[in-house]
Amino acid sequence: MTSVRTRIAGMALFVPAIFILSVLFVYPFFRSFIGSFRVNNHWGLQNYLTVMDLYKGDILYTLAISLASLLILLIFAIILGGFLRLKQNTVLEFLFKIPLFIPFVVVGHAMRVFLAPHGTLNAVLAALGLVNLQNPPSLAFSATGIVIALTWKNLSFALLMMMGAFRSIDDSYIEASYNMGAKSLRTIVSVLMPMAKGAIAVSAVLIFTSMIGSFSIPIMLGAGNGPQMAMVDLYYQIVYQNNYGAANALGVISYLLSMGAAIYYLRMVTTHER
Amino acid sequence: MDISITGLSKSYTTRKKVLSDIDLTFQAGSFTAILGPSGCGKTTLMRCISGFLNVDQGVIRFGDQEVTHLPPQKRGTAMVFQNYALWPHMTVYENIAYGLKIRKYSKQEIEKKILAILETVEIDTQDVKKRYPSQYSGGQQQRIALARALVLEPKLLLLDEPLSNLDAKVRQRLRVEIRKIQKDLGITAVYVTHDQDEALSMADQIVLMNEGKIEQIGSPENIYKHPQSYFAAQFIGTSNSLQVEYRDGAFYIGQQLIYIPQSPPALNKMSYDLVIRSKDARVTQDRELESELLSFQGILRESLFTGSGYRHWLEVERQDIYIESEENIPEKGLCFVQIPREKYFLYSREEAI
Repeated sequence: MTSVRTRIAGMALFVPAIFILSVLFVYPFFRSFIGSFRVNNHWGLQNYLTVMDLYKGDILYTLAISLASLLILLIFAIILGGFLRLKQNTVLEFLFKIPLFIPFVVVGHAMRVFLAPHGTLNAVLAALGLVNLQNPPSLAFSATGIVIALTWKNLSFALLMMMGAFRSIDDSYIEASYNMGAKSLRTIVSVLMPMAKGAIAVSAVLIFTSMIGSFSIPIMLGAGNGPQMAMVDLYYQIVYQNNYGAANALGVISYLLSMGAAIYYLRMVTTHER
Repeated sequence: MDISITGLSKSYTTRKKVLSDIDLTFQAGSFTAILGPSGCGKTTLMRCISGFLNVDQGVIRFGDQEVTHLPPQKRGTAMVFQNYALWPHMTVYENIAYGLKIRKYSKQEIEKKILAILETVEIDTQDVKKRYPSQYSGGQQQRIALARALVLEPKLLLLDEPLSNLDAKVRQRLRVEIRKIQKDLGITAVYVTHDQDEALSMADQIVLMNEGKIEQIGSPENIYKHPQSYFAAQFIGTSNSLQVEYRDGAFYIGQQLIYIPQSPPALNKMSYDLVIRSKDARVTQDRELESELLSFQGILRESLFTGSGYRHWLEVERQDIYIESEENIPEKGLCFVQIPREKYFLYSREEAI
């Protein structure tokens, strides 16, 4: 008797979560998925062919930008997180966590100010005589600008994840490394990083997914012409072309890219875990 | 190369000193046990020696070289941890090779050294390149950790309660083996432990610590037979202490007059602690009046069989003591405790504070 009741009670606890997930995620995704196969009230793959035709380069561009940002970000986060783990510095840690509370648009704007042709960075470089302001190079409005902004915006989150993982590693593993004669950098690379590889892979997947889906930074810092990131294309399809079919198809492709990354990494982590 | 520590002090907060005025020498090739209850500062002292903690005052010398402010990487000590601290993502071979790679030995040299040291600690060398530490038992992992430390031929081997996580049988065996390896290699070793059996059986020299100070330094025999303070006496051995009072020109336990051949104190009244080791006393039912023995009466409450003998619980003037002896005492009730003169220790209360 009680077992049936507890079972029902147990299931009842799931209901709100399942409900929210269904309404806010499963149903919209399902509609997009269905919509991506509809062209003028017919079923077909026309939307995917259009997307492939128009945006094959942009999809690769999106992947390349995301991967490049992720790689740079991970290197920074691991080394910075590692040093903060080895040498406590609460002030520095706090400073690096601030971007966590800044919205994407604000980061985008700040980066425009910083990286624009007549922005802060070039002004400083010009003062040092390294840059000619008559014909200034521009980091903003280019792929580099997007990479810098995405890296900067996600650094605090990545750092938070790394610090959590590194802090759970017992001091004795670090002290053993020092004791054997290793310096900090070697200890980070040979001890902290491999011991936290599960957490690193998980945060890499999370960040990669959010980078693929990023919109405000690419639109604010990307080049006006030339390749665009997927979410910018998606926006144009909806707002200017009013082509929801193609937009849905592009959405499904982006989703599959993120999912693919997640599955690949998580499988790698679980098979290598002993 | 002797290792010396002079006037070392350390505190974590400004209020309380964790270590104060530590003066010590570890002779080359000797085995020193730093012994004390938890919180006595023994681990802090070891961490100061290894360089993981900065000292507030004092000097640490390895031979002629002063190392007080050297970082741990440059001290040339090797440490063995209580939890082994073998890196789980590296094979056994990689674990041991770590320090050698940093010292830029060639591949062949590394291999030669690792195989030799594994032989010393009796770990099968067959598949150490494929197996990970977690595939070994606790005792084997500690042997591997020992190999990782010894392969670097350290100036000083530091062992931080290395056997505490192991079960009794493995612990007994490793004690003997660690000691043997240390002697064979002629290495200077410092061993931190709270286990007096370990300290007494392994060490050349014991440093007994309490509340951040050195209580006594000496050979195991010296520490056991001639404890210089109340703390030393009751910490070493299975000890009982009884409150003794000097009044009206005589010594008393409660209301019981006892005869202690000691010159009376300057004061008319004074409190003492009498320390008796469980194994040094005898329990009898008929009192032998011998001047060679300290003797007093008590009530036998219970006797427990311990395998090799009996453990007797006695009440002496409302104080409990435990005496171990081989013979059983069939009847409970009144009996006598007798201890040879040189086997008990009496400390005035001022000393104990």
